[in-house]
Amino acid sequence: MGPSRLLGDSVSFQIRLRNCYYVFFLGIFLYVGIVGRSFAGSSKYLPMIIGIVGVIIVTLDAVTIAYGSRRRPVGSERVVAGEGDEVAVGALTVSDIATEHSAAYFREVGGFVAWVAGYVALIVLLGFTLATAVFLLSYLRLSAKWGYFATVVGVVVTVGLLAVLSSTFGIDWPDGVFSSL
Amino acid sequence: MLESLGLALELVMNPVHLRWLLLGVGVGLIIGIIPGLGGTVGMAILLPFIFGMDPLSGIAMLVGMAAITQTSDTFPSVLLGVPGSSGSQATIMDGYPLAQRGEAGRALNAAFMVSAIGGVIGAIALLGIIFIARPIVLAFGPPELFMFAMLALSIVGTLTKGALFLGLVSGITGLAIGIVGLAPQVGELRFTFGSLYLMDGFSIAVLSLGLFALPEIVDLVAHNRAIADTSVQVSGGRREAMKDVWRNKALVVRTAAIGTGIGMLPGVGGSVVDWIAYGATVRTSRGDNTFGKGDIRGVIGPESANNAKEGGSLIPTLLFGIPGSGTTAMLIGGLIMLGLQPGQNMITTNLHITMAVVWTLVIANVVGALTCMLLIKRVIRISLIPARSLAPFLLVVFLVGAYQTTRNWGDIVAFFVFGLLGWVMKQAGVPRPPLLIGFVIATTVERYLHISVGFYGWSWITKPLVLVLLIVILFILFGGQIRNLREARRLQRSGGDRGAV
Repeated sequence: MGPSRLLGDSVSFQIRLRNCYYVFFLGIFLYVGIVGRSFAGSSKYLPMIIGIVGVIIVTLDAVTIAYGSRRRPVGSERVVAGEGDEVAVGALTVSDIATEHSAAYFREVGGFVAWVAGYVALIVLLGFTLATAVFLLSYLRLSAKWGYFATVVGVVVTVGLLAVLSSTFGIDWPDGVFSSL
Repeated sequence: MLESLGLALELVMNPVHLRWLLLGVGVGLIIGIIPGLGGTVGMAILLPFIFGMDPLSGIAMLVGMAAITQTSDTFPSVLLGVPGSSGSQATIMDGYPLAQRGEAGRALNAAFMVSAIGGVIGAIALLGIIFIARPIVLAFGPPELFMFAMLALSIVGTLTKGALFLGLVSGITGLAIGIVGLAPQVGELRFTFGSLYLMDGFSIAVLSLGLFALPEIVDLVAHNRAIADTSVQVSGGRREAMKDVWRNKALVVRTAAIGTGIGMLPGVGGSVVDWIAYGATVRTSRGDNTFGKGDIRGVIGPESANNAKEGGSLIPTLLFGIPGSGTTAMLIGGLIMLGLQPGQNMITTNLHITMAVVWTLVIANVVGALTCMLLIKRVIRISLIPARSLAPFLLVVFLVGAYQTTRNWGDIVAFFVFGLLGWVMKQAGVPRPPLLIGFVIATTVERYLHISVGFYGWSWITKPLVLVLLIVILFILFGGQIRNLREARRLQRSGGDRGAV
């Protein structure tokens, strides 16, 4: 995938995602404002303000974008690159985008999310401590490609620290379905 | 007041508090080294653990951590050319070229020395402003404080240059999340959908861990980047760095003053202070202009400013309860968890706590800088670990932190839901700090609104200072838009005139 192709995908993905975000929160603001009217006394003021101001701002932005895109030449749409750094698409370079939205990126993200989901499923089944040991053992060996010795040391040290935290600070861990067995 | 200052020093020097301060410094050191994990993530990790701590120990740990991340984030900026946090972006401009020239040791040592000096100047400024601000702060009533909170939110919204509405939507989303649970004034349940977990609302620790920490880890793993480059030469340079700092002592003080001043503006600090300081350094420096090619002044200026900023940003945070950044938003959450209410009482009944914060800043900055200087070689080893090897351990820490909030499965579910929201916001380019700030000030805003309406009815809107603040807010929100529209019309008109000719 060439840089320009990658860039185009990244920008359009970012704009699409932001539009979805806007539509979702427009719905949320409408809901907060409408439901807020039914609350008693002063507890309804802030929800109503949030609903009204939120809807106004999202609408204003939609109008501004529509007005801007009618006036602006094609290819100069504005896009937010990262946390507070805005650049024009025309001047955009690959490094300006906080994250490259390439297929490889999504594959890596998907892979890590699968690991996290597996870890949570293990916590539900085995409880936190045992699930952590199993997760670390498999992740460090299979994904991080650690050696057997380093993996075992990593797991033992982490589980040991969890035990120390638990006994010193009285910290509880989530129990699993099979924890009591 | 001097009595409080002495008492606070005595309290801070207590070995128990010092231990927690050093723990915070240790955590901040590691967090700062990992690119993307700034003070906000550090706060998110520490917040769940301060439940039940005595206020001074808790504050020592949080402030110590926040102060040191501004120092240790220089490691990746100089060694890899990747900012450790938003406050060290400008350091890359000359720090990285210096490292490539084999002068990383000189750049790092100089950065740590001026970080300590800048941090101390910021703390002194905080102290000085407490003396001056006391009568002013005490003169504000609930309507003015409500408008101040709104002002903070609108300034935060403008952080997203040219995409004002994105920031505002983010801030209002934070307010909406902040009102979930039992309404404090009338005891009515709002947006709980029959869930017992939601009755107390969301915890700031879970929100911030999900919103900031999880998306960063996902991105780090996706890029599987080692934190630093193995080829960088880091030894030596301490003596030369001392000479550099001495030669540029005026620059250190000047940029520290800039950092403190900008830090005081709610929402503006973090991501811009180092660039403003860098710009001022370039403009005011005499002699050979080698900026961008490895000029030590390009490291000294921003590094002095970004540590001084911490003292400045604590002024609106402690005195008005208005956070200036994601990190200070979480600090407010931490203060509330410790049983302290930021605002006027921080300069009356809890003055000794505010003074303790000043001392903590001083100690954390000095200890942090010395630690960084001593650990330069060892820290490099940590920074060579690939992200994929760090991620599983960080995930365990995040889950431990999230679950400690209420020890309910709801915490873990909320952590992942906010993680998804944070990831979507990051990918969509929607700024996340305004959401956190909106969430934190939701309770304050509602309290001031309730008191204002209760005392004055809706006529509080006509109070003179309220009107002034309203005009300022409108100017901040729409001034830029109107100017842009005028500019566009003017350009269109001049284009039309040329076409006619």
